[in-house]
Amino acid sequence: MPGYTIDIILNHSITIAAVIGVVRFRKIHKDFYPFLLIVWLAFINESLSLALIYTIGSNTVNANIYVLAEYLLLMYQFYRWDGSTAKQLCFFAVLGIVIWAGDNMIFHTLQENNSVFRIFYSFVIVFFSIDRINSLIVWEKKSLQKNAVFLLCIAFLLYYGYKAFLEVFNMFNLPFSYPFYRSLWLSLSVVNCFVNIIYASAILCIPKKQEFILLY
Amino acid sequence: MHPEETRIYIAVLTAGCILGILIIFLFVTIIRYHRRKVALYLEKILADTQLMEQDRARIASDLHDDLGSSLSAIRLQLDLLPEDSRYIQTVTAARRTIDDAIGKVKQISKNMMPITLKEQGLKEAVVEYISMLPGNNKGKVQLEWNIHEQGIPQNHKIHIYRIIQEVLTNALKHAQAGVIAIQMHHRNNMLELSITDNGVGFDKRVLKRSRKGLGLRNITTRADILKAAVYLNTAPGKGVSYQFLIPLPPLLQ
Ligand SMILES: Nc1ncnc2c1ncn2[C@@H]1O[C@H](COP(=O)(O)OP(=O)(O)OP(=O)(O)O)[C@@H](O)[C@H]1O
Ligand SMILES: [Mg+2]
Repeated sequence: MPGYTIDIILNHSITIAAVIGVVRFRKIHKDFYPFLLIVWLAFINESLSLALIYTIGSNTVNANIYVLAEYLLLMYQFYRWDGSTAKQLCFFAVLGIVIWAGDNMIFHTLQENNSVFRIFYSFVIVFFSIDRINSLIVWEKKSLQKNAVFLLCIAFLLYYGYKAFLEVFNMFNLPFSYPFYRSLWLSLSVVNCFVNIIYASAILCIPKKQEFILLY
Repeated sequence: MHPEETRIYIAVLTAGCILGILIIFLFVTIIRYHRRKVALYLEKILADTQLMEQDRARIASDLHDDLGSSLSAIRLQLDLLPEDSRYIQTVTAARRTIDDAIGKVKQISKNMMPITLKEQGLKEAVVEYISMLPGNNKGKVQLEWNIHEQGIPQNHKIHIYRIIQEVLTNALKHAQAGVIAIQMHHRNNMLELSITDNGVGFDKRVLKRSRKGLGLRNITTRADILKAAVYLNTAPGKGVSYQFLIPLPPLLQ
């Protein structure tokens, strides 16, 4: 299936970020470990998807499970960045698990391309990213261009914003042909590749030690 | 793809591009306005602290010159009193009180504006500040000073001095520490100032928003002026350790 090759190359651009994460691991502040874990998990998931597509022909099961892991890790990452949002994050994590279970077990099965949870999680991640960006604007006194949190949140806005937009097509089961949907996901892969490059440069910007700032 | 689908696909991609352009525009404006905000903030704190230091210098010299010389004059006038055994005790007591007052005025004015800093440099000013600490506190402070001061701009010195002063005050007031170590070294093109105590420590997360004191805020403000990076390492029971990395302007040769 040659149509997949370009997708595969684009999605495997996460490898760059994953490798930089391994190389720089000792120079990375603990508060960023959840994100590193996401990057490595994404790399494993891409490779697994590749293997499964060529053997059983579908990667829906692992993709459905992966999005939940990604979501929970991101919630934990936002908690590490700002402990004061713990309550909201907990609430959305639990709500996410409920919606995921409903979407993948009750209303649909793990073998289907389920969209409801993906739309929900994209929105939540975008909301928390906007919140983080605004708090950086207020408190941060060093340049934002090289601020890892800022770069990551902008990348989240781009990727999850576009993803929520595309998943809507999937959710309504619009009567389009298979090539149409394939092209849609290809465009998401292009965005994904771009975002992976931002991830890689953000990982290069992660400091070893967190500078002290006062929130007053 | 069906031709109709192709058109829809192009519409979707266009919408996606618009979304992307909006976010990139957001990114660029945030960075630009943030940079401007930080520049304004730095201007403001610089002006504020300069004003404060000027005020302090004025009050300190007023105290030292006016009040100090008046007290010295009174002291002299007391000396001119004829010896009278009836008043001798009162006079001696008055002399002692006046000597005390003169000492205090000197100390207060030195605290407000260390003349030593201007005349002899940062290290001497810090040594003098430590030597003026009350009681057994002097003995707790260990100083390790390994820099040459020519490279430090004069207006940087007062901020470094205030930082040390504030951190020491905090350590003596809150830490119940046995030892407070101050170390100053060169590191690449920077000064590395570390101040560590082995006292009770505190919870950084609680403190970050607590708005209790002005001390830490003063420290971070001064550090911002110096464009220094501040690292604060502490936890309840673990002592407090500050590290300041202060960039030096390139040497003009
Ligand atoms: N070396 C230290 N050891 C233990 N606790 C400390 C130390 N330094 C600061 N703290 C804690 O941090 C708090 C804030 O310090 P800060 O200097 O901002 O305020 P303050 O000393 O209480 O008041 P101010 O400095 O305005 O007189 C202190 O109240 C204290 O609880
Ligand atoms: Mg204090």
